[in-house]
Amino acid sequence: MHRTTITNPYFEIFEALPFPCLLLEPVQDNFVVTEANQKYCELSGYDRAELKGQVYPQMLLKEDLSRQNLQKRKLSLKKAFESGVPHKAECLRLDLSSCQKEEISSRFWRIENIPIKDEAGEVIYVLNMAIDQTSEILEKQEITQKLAANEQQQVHFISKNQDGLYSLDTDGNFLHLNEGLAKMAEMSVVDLLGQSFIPFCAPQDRNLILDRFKSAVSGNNEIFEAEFISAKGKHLILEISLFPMSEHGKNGVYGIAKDLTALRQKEEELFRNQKKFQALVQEGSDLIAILGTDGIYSFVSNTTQKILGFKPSSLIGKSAFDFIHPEDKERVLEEFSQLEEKKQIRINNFRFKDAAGKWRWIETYASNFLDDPYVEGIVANSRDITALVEKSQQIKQLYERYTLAAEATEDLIYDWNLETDEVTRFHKGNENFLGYSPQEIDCREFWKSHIHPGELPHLKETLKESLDDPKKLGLKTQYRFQRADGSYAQIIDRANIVRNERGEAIRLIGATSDVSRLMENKTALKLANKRFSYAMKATKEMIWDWNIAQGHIKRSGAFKRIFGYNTSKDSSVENLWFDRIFEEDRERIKKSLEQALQDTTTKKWREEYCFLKKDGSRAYVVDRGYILREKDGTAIRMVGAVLDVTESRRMLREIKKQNEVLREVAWEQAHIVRAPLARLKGLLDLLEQEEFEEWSREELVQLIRSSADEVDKIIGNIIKKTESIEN
Amino acid sequence: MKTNRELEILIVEDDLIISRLHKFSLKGALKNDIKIVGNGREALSYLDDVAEEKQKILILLDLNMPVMNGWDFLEACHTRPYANRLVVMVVTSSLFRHDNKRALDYPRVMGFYSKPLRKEHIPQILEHPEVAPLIS
Repeated sequence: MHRTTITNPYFEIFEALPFPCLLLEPVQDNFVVTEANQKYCELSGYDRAELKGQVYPQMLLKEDLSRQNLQKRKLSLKKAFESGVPHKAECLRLDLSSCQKEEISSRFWRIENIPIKDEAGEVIYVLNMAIDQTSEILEKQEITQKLAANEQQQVHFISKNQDGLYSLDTDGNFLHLNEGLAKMAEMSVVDLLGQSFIPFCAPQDRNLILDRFKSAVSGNNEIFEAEFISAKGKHLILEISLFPMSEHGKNGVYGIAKDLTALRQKEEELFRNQKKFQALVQEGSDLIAILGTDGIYSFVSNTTQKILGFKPSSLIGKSAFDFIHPEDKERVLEEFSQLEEKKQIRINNFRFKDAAGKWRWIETYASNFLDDPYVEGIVANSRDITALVEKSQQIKQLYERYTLAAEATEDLIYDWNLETDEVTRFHKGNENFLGYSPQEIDCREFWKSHIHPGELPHLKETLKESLDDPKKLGLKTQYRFQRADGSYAQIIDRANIVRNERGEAIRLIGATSDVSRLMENKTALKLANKRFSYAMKATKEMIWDWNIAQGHIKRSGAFKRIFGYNTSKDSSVENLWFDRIFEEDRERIKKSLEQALQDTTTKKWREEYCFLKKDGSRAYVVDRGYILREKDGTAIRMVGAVLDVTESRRMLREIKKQNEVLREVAWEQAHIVRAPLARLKGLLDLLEQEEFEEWSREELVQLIRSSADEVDKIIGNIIKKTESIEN
Repeated sequence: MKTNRELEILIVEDDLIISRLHKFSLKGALKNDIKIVGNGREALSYLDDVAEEKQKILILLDLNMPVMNGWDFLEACHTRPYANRLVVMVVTSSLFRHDNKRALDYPRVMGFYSKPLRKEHIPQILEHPEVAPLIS
């Protein structure tokens, strides 16, 4: 026996090993336990001394060991001993419960037998180690179980899947398929197996489907959408996924068919709804917007662009109140705030500034959708009513203007509704018309009863005729109407006849004017005109009226009478006027006239000149004119009179000549008379003096006498001469 | 009596009685010789002869005269070399203001009197500054 004790250090390692170990020594055909380590004792519950000398593995028989296990151990030990190489025995179950432990647990062990050799290489011991494999084994078992369950689940998933799962051979015949696909095809699984998918393709998509199938068969993944028809004729939109298959020597494709029919229908419906929304909200004539309670836009319909010129995006995030007219803002804000209590409100006409900066009249219905999760705001439905408001303002203005005009006019304006026979009169306050108060005038039958009885029948007839004639749109009548004081006023009544589409007169709107004064004036004017024309005939003056703008002159009949020229046709200033002025005067007159016309302040013009009469004689004329001007001073017309002063001129000249002669005569006569008188005075002066030298007194007296005689004689001659002139 | 040979006194008058009356009136006031002519023409021809020797010529000129009246004389004499030595006193029967005005337009006419000259007119005439120093 080769007994060798393990030296101390090795024993310590043996003792400290963390798994149960036995040191076995071959004894005859058996192996006997020589040593057991701490861990072995702990786990087995044996005493170390008890174990020593026991035969292995028989000593384990009292434990719950299967025969196979025992044999495996023995064999492994033998192999290690004989070969001198360590040997392992896998997965040996040994439940330790059967030992002294109370707890029962299944344990799996791997046994390792390591031969220990002496210096000669003889195996003298075998180290038997049991390595706990329980956790690994259990894990393995669990995975296997899980796999089995998964497999089960997968089968279930495939068969119960709503989607169609299938495989096809290269010709397109079903190799496998699930209930889902059978349901889509509206055939049983059994009936479908071996069938081709091709008859289920909708005609329009058949080529597409076949192309994709071929592509998948040749090794590509394919996903596409196509229409199929079930065995019962139901149309289906399927999303088909195809994956190439090569399994067990079989080629073909796997596939999934997803039914999108309902989804697509829903989408279609949604699309139609969107269209409807677009038609209603985006394309309509109303402005639709969603705002917050602060007036900030969160949605604005496309119509905004068309109606207000704003791009919807440019309004988002802005406050609607910033666009409202300052005068309307407070009211709109107040009305808008009512939405806190009311579901819907209407905001009447307010002004909103459009993209161009113009004020537009808007009317809005606002609804509170703050609680609606799809809206979360106030929906404002607005209309552009600018045209409407402007029209109504125009009408209002027109009515005001009409009333004012009615007030301003002297006429009495009336509106006679012929259908109801009611008359509305526009009185000027409480002012009387023809001495009657408005209340009196408005009485029924009042008007008719005050028309002059002699004119009433004719008036009625005219009225009836005009109203009955559908072509007549106006009516003018003149009649006498009794004033409150009993006298008669001359009335002119002008009216417009309003007719319906059938041409029937339905209203008569007119103005009644008291033209009495006008008529009196007319008579007076007629008389004045008559007087004037008489005066014109009598006067020596030729009246002319020069239309400067048109360049022609009209002359009164005196032109022919005085100057001999015909007045039948109008003539210009140049011909028949300037050319008839004598040359010595012509330029002066032209210049003077031109100056007068050009000076915008000159109103009157006067010149004297010689004018050639038709008979070739010369006429001295005084020409005076009055210039009529435009506001800017431009002379447009000149009216004047030419007075022929030839006769008076001639007389004047004669008088002048005569005066000249008379002055000469007087001078001469004065000298002649004065000569003897001067002599007389001189002589008398001399006579008064005391001495007069060469003259004697008698001589002086004689001279005085002869001088006095001379005076007497001269005076006698003057008388004689005067008498001869007179004759 | 005063006498001065350098002053010529000429009465141009067609009425003989008037000229004699005027000469008589003047003679009472001076010693100078006094010449009487009947019209303008005579006056001119006389002056043309004598004027050269004379320093000043005092003329009593009637206007209304035959042959050459006073006006024509005034026109004619002012081209004469002695024109500036003439002192003309118009003495006329005319009472026309217009004659008075017209006469005074002639530069040598120094006075205008109506006939007959009165006593008080004589000193006025003779005291004219141009003639007064020559009066004798």
